Amino acid sequence: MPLSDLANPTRFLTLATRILPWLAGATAILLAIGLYQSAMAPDDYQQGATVKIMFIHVPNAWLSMFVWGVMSMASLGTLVWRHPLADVAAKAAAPIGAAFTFLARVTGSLWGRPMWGTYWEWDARLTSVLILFLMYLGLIALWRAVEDPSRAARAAAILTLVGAINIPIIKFSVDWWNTLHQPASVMRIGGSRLDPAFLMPLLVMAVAFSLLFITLHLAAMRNEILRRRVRALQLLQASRA
Amino acid sequence: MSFASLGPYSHFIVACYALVALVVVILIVWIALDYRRQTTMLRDLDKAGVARRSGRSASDLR
Repeated sequence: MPLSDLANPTRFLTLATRILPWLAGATAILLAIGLYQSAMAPDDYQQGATVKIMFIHVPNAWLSMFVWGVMSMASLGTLVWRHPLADVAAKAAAPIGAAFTFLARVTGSLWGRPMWGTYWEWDARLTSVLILFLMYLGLIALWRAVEDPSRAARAAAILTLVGAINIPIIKFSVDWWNTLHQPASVMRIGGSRLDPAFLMPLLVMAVAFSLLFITLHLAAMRNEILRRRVRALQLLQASRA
Repeated sequence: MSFASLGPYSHFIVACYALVALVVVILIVWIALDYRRQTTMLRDLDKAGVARRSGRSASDLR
């Protein structure tokens, strides 16, 4: 099937229904491996066993930014190419991205309390992630407030692209400002600073959570296509009555 | 690995993993219930005789 065929929502539904069970299976297997490796990882010489929080905090933090990146690409698809699935993709991703951001925020706080002595500090990294979470909630509210999906799509796409400015701010906040949050230790010039005993479980969990996102996103996109089909048919039914 | 081997901050670690599991389960259940709701509505429209422009029945997911 050529990639352009996926622009057709009906063909997308067929493909999504076919690959979702495989994606769900692969996600479950990788999550099980990642959780086992996380449980077996040694204690860190400074953090002790709380290093295990990093194996779920970091993948959620990466995904909180990655999902906004996906929504930004989809927003370009909405505004520039008017791709029929672009707004569906962005709208379906928002609640999942909000959930990952919420988890990154809370797991970070639960790690910060024993390690930093505080759940929260108004530092650049923590505050910019809080802003990202509020932007996710704002976008979800916008989609819900406007009944016509095509009218909501343009406004949401513009808001998403404006909000994308926050992603590099989150990423580089630890370099640009003096923050309580430690600088990047995995994705950095010069390679990772992590010992393989911690890097391996972290990478496996990152891939597992990424697969989880892809699975949930495809399923949520399928729901959104069906919701729009229901709406179109209800309008048709009402016009005949 | 036992609960005690997680050290003095075991409650923070367990709370993190439990919270992530809870939120992921809520996401999965929410998406599954939404799918069921949409397919039920399409079947109801099908029964009411509303067909798609392609001529396919409303509940035909192809």
